[in-house]
Amino acid sequence: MRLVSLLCVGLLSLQVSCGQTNKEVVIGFVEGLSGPFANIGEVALRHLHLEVDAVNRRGNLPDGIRMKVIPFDNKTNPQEALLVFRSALDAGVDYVFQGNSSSVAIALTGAIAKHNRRNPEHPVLFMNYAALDPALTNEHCEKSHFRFDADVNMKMAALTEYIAVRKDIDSVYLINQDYSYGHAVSAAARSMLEVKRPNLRIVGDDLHPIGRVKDFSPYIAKIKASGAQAIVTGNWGSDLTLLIKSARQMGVDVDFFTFNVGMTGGVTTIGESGVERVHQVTNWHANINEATQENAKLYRVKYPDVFEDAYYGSIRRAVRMLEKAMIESGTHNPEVVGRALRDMEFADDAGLVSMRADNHQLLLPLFVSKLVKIAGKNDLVDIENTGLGFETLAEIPAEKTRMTTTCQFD
Amino acid sequence: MEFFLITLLNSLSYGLLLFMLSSGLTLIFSMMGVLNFAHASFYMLGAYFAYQTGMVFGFWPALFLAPILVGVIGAITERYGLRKVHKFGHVAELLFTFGLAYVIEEVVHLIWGRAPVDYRIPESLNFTLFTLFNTQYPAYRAFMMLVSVGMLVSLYLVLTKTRIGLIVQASLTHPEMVQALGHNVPRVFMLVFAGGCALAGLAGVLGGNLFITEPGMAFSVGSIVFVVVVVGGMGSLVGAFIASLLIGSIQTFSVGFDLSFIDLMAGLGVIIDSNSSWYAGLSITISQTAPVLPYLLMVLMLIVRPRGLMGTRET
Repeated sequence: MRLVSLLCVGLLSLQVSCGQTNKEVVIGFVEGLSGPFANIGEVALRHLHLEVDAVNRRGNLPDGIRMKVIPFDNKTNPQEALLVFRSALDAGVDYVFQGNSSSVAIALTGAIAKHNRRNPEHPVLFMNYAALDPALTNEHCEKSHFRFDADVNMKMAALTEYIAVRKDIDSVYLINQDYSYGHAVSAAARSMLEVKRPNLRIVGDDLHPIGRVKDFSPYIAKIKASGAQAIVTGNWGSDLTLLIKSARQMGVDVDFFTFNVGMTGGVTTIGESGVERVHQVTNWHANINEATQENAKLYRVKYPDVFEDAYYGSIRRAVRMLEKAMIESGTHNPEVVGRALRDMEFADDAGLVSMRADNHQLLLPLFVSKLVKIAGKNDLVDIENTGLGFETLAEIPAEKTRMTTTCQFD
Repeated sequence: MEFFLITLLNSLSYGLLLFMLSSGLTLIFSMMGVLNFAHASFYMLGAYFAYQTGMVFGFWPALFLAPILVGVIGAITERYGLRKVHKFGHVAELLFTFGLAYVIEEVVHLIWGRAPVDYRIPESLNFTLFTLFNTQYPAYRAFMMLVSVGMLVSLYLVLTKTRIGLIVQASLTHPEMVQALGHNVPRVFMLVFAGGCALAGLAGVLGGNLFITEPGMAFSVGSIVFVVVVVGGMGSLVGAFIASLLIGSIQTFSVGFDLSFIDLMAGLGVIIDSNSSWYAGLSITISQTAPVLPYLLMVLMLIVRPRGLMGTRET
């Protein structure tokens, strides 16, 4: 596997030099590919390759052009991201894909907007598939930025709708990463729970450094002492798996309400102890309908040797909407394609989605699901061969996730 | 009470892991005067070797094999690297270990990739040892404490009660004399360096599966290990032990306190308005500052008592 990916990188770098003759659209994958979040960066890259390969196989892009993916390692760090964005520009990037870490996304969206103002002859679009800080479609919104996942407020609204009907829960503990995204999750949870469940007690609200805590047991001891019945967390990557691992080791018996537990390694770490207890709110999971199950199987067929399963519905959606926008506008020029993307409606595997023209946030149905054993439920597929999978508890229609925005494009 | 006891146990196990990590570093420093910047990299190698050999032989043989392998690499490093640069002085040695840390990290990238590997706690230790009130205490943490304490005792016995320990100690203060008595002092140094690395490797075997085994793990513990050694006193094994426990408990206990400066002022009757420009800075709680506290302790220690808790040198 490693050899194969090394070979790919080698071939890709060759194509840079020989790619000038036949036309190619360059997709720069600017993501953390080393450090504590490297694993999910690689997972996202595999999702991207799967979709881009499909686009090239269909061959419907105008002028017979093809898409090409070049990965750039931003080390999940805003400064590094700005540096590698320069090298992405040198490689002729037209579309930047990024998602892991909102602090990186905010840095990138500013840099891309600035680049577009200075170089109108070579504009770049930012396809954000997972950075959920609401600021990106509010105070920091840019014309060149499009988000294909629901932001923190939309997801928290969906999640709190569900918590509101769970009358058996009367105390929750918030634990999040100490940066813009984690702060947004914590603030949204507080304000929304206050309205929807006024009698619910928030017994703790912790912020921990992102990617630096290796031992979560002190936090778990604190959660235990607080007597919380449920944990609400926006953590992702190793910060989520280590948190759950610690909770499991210390036998903490609480409900988990998460945004990202279906991400690689999450379900394997939790194992059977999380059955009926672990919940997530996502824009996609394998067991929404037959179409999503088919797509989950496609991923396994394409990558039989990898550990994880399909997770990023947002990457699939972003690439397909990009393809549609290019075909409709008859060009691959990012500025023209960007105009086609605004207001676009798209029939996704999980339902109809539409891009908001006023802040470039996709409106999409959201799903609250819980971890169950798939044994005896023939209509469910599992995750990471654990025999466990997610089952939808509630679907929140796209239009209901619409939030007011302060965004003003100039 | 429950919270206190559990947190105490957690801080003990974390502190003892820190001690395993830093004992090798302080040992090497006291014997050879070399500050090994690559020490945490040997910790990482221990975890990866345990993962790799564990896949073939299982966890228990790996527990012994991995530290030995790390020790062998340490010996080679000393024999063909450090010994060569030794004649150019301490700066050259420092730079050598500094570079070595990067080399090891890149090699790990090449062999095992950039993503974490799936190195797990063995099934035979993956159970609840006891239940305190109603929090379960995992057996693996207890096992880790046991190994660490066992290591401390045997290290002490080897250094003070055995012949090889006496030679090591003598080589530290009177290398020429020991050489004149017919002992091979360079080989003693090589052994000490290999031993110190093996101890870091052992910490890696135990810490790698409790936390996470990934190429960034060396970097993330690298700085805290130096804090332990500085606070405990350069070259003092007892000092490193006390400092490890101290830093372990500071980091673990501080997570439990949600007090902020604002609460403190409120207790004194001063209410700070949330619109005040100072609010954001002052509302940071002790638990949020937990990761910084050890470094604060190090700075304070360097100001008040530069040689550390048990150190003998004024450095």
